[in-house]
Amino acid sequence: MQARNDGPLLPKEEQQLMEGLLAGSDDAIRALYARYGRPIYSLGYRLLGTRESAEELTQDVFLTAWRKAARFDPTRGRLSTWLMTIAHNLAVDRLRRETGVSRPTLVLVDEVPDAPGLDEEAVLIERDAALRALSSLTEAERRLVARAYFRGMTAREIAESDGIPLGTVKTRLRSAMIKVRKANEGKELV
Amino acid sequence: MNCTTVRDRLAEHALGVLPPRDGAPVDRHLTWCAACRKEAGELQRATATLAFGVAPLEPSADVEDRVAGAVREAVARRDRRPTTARRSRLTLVAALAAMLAVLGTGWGAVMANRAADSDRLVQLETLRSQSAVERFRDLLNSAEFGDPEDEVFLGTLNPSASGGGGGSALTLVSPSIIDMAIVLVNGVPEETRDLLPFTVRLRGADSVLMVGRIEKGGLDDSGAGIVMREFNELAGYDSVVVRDVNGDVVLSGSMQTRATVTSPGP
Repeated sequence: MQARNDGPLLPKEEQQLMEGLLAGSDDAIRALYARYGRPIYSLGYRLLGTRESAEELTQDVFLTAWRKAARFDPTRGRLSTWLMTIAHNLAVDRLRRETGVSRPTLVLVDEVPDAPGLDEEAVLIERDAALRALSSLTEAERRLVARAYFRGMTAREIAESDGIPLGTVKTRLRSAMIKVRKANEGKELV
Repeated sequence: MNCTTVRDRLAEHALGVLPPRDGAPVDRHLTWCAACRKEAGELQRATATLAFGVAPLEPSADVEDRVAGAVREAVARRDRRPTTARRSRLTLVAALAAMLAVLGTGWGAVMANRAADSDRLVQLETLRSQSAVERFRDLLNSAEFGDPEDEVFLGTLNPSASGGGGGSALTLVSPSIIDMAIVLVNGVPEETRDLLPFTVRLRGADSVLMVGRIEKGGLDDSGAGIVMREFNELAGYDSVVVRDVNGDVVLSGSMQTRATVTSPGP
C-alpha cells in the first residue's frame, strides 16, 4: 500500500488505510503512525504525565483502532476525530483508575513556540483548528474545558471543587463547547 | 429520557466525562434520535479538535516499531483463530467472580500469625490459591467455555532482594473470548506499603502492557491486593513486574506454567 505522508487524506484514502490496518499491513500501520502517532503520544503525555504511560497509551490506541477498524465509516467522520476520540477515552479511563497520581502542568499548543517541521501538514491543520477553538474561549471557559477534557473531571467534581452549583457548571460547559464547535464551522479540516 | 434532557448532557458526553449511569441512557437515546445524534456528532468532532491543542512532543524512536509489532502480533493471532463467534465476556466475568470468592482473603491469617507457624500457614494459603486456580480452570472447562485453544498461564511472584511478600499471576489467552490478566499480591510488608502506588505490568518480547495500579489504601490489612484487566491479545506476554512509586521492582515472576484448557473427556 502506498500512502501519502503529506496533506489531508480523502475519505477513500482513509478507508484504504483502515482496511490495511485491519489486514495487518505494515505500510498501513506505519502510515497511520506517521500521521497520528505523535499527536496521540502528545495527548497521552499531557494527560497521563509520563513518557512510559504515553507510549503504552499510543500502543493501546492503535490496537483498539485495529480491533474496531471495521466500524470506521469515513462518511460519518474524519479518521483524526475517530482516533483522537479513542485516545482520549482510553486516557480518561486510565486517569480515573489512577486517582491521586500527580499530573504535569498542562501545556497547550499556544503556550509554546512553533516547532516547524515537527508535524505533518495534516496535523498542522488540525492544530490550527485547535488554536481557533481555544482562542474562542474566555480564560474561565478555557480553564473549565481543560479541567474536563484534559483532566477528566466530571461536571460534579468541578462543581464540588469550586463550590458552585452543578447546573451552573453544566451550563458553562455547554456554552463553551458550542463556542468550540462554532470556531471551526465552515472550515475545511483534515 | 427526552431530547431536552439528552442535549443538556451532550457537552459532557462529547468531553468524555459523563458518568456511566448518565451516559448509558444518552447512548440509548442516540441510537434512535437522528436530531440528537447529529448534535452529538458535531460536538464530538469539535471536542476531538481539542486533542490537537496540547503542545507536541516527540515519542521515543522505538515506539513506532512497538506499535507495528503489537498490531502485527494481534493480526497473526486473529488469523490463527477459528471462525466461531466470540462468546460473551459476561460468562467469563461470572467465572472470575467465582474464583475470587474461592480465593477470599486467607492471606490475612498468614500475616496475622507471622511469628507463629508462619511457614505452615503460607503453605496452606499457597495450596488454597492453587485450588482456586484449579477451580477457575474447571469453570473454563465447562460447557459454556470448552474452547480447546483456551490457555491459562500461571506464575509466582517473588520479592526483590530487599523486599518481602509474594504473589501469583494468571493470564487467560483465548481465541474465542477476550484475554485477561489477574495479578494477586499478598503479604506485602508494612514498610513497603509506604511505597504505594505499585504499578503492575506484563512484559512480552518487545512490548509492555499495563495491568493496573495498586493505589495507597489498595492493600488489605494482610498486605494483599488484586488487579485485573481485559486485553485484546496477551499471547507472548510471559513475565510480570510490580514496581513501587520510585520505579524500583518490588515483585517479579515469569509465567512459566502453561495449562491448556482442554475439553472434558467422553
